[in-house]
Amino acid sequence: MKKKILLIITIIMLMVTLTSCYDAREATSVSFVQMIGIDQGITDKWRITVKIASMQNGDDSSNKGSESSQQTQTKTITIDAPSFNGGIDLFNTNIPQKLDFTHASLLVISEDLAQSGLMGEYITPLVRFREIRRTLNVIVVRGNAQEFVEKTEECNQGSPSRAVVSLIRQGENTGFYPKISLNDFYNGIKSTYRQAVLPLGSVHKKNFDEEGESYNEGVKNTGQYFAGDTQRKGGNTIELLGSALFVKDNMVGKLNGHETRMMMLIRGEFKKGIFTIQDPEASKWIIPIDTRVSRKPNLKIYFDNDRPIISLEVKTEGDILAIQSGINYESEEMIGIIENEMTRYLEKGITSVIHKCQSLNTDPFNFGRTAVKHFLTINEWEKYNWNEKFMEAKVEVKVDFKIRRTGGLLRNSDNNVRDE
Amino acid sequence: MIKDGKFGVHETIALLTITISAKVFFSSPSVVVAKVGTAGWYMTLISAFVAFLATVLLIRLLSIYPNKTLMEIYEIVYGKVVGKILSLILFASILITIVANSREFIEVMKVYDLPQSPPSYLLILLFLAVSVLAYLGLETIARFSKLMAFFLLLVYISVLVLSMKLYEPHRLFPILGYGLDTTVLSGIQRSSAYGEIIIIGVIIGSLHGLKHAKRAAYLSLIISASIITTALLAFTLAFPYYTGEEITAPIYLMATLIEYGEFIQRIEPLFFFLWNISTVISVAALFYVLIIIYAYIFELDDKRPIIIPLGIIVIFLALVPQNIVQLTIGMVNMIRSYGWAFYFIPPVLTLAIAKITKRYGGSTQ
Repeated sequence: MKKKILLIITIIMLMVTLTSCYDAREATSVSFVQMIGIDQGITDKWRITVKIASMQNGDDSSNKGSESSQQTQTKTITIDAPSFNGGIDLFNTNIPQKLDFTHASLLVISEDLAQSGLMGEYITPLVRFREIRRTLNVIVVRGNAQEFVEKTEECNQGSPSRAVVSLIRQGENTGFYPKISLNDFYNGIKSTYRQAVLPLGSVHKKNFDEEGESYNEGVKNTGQYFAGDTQRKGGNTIELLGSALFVKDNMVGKLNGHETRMMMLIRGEFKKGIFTIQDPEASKWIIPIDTRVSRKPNLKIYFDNDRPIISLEVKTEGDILAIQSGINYESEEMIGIIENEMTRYLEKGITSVIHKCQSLNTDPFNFGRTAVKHFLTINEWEKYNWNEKFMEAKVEVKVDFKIRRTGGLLRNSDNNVRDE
Repeated sequence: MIKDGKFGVHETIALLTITISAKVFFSSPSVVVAKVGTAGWYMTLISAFVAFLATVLLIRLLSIYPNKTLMEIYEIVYGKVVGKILSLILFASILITIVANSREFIEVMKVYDLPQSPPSYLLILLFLAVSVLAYLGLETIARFSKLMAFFLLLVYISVLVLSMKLYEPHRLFPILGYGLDTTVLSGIQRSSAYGEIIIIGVIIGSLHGLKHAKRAAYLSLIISASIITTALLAFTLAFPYYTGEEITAPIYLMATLIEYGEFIQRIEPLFFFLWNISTVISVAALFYVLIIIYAYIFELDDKRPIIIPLGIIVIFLALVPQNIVQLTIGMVNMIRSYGWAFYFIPPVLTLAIAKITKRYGGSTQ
């Protein structure tokens, strides 16, 4: 009898404790935030924009299982608030469901805010907030974040958040912008080893020249634009290209798509991308080369009376995609000419981007990660202050480039050569 | 009446290892990084070495008094009154450790997973599980530890392996952290992290002799040191020292960052098993030891009536810290920094006095 009573009490207790808890929430009582945009506010300190997804038919279960009930709709809402968390509460004066940030995939920060030197102040509450995952992607946008978040609606790929996340992943195939998570960025703004960098985005400006004289100037570097400036007609309203440079939490400059690729090459994060070089023997023509890093860059840092000397060796390889001039560069004697030209091209690009960053006093290349190995204690390292010393560093760049394949053609026959 | 029961070396190793290592899943790694920076992962080896020396002396003490528990030895060496006072000190040390561990577990759960649930509700749920285990006796706790140990180890290794993408070797530099002297001093001080090894002296009656106790103590120290060192090493590799010191539950956060494409991500629920089960075992083991000491001090034959009152006392004490800062920076940090004085010094001192006075087995020889 005693055992039976105990069993009944246990079952009742299990029923009470396992049914749910204080934190249980039904899916229909929650609105999942997909994207967050942050601008400096006009009527209050923060202007917060959220793109929320809600099930089309809410908790109406009449057409359960039908395709239409599975579709998600998104809404973009903007609010001015004194703080991020205060803003969330204010959103809930308008939205019947509780806002949930656990599935947010993108944080958009306006360029103005990034340049205000207040980024730390804005980012810390997000890092502290338990619902926001540190894997959240972060970008800086030209113009305002509100407009960017709104315009993601027009992406031609179903869910806006899925489209933007796929777009961010595309950076790996081109090297035109880095993929940075909230965790990377937060570590970056506090780092003693490096400075932070973020991908640059923008709503595309309609600047496509449909009429005019044919282009007749030299070869431009691919990606020599900032986001929003590409000469394009059609496609999505938003684009990512280039990167924003920071000194601590303050945005101090930008790299265009081409410069960002050079930065990615130095960081060893460049996977592949197509570089277009001028034909060394026929300057009117170009040679596109599908390029990749063959090995992690070899970086050595030593010190000459406190001045850092950086010796960087980047090993790359690539495949020829086209030879417009028709010159037979595929031959054993000629292939070296393209390799040398490409080496010069990359060396020039890398040196130039390093000098640009030195002039802005920012090290987005992670050189400090190697330099720190020369210091025994944190006190010594922090006293040396790498982020300040990088500006004075002497950088020696060596690039090694090898052609691996020549595409579907093994050689150009002589009668294909075009005139200059 | 609850019987302590008998169990083997494997069960003892699982019990001691889980009891010692469970704390690494809470705020301790962050506090270590704040103290010694990048040197935390090898600082804990210094702590383990100090704890090992203390354990060697504890085992020596237990070998002088065969078949006697630590509390009985105290009474033989110092007499009844002083012996009971020393047992009471051990009782208080373990009580504070249980209170701190339970509240820290609840606080971290509230921060990351159950923000709306009141601490009292979560503590009651935790102590329901702990009380059931205590009710079933030490042998059940030990056998349950062994049953779960392999699963917990598998989950732990999975978390470490899946986090590999987050590891950056440069984060181990500057290699000496805030200086070798700070690392060595902190290492010695934080030997309290392994202080729970002392319970071998309390539960020795349940083991098959001193040989088993010795083997179990040394092996569990080695395994615990390996687990804590690898956890701290992984944490140091995954988070730089300047942000690592800010995190409430670093290993949990590390698990949330695991992402391999769209398929493998958000795997932290796996970590919850590791977290919850190890904490329940750790708290249950310490709670049962607490009951043993209490029953010994007050000469009670039946431990069963103590379980619920003592559980209620622990729940109320766990609710005393006003906030997480008071808990982690105050209480937990105090236990880790000064716990060694209460865990290790009394047995070591007792060994020295026993050797000097040659008071073995209750009479001077």
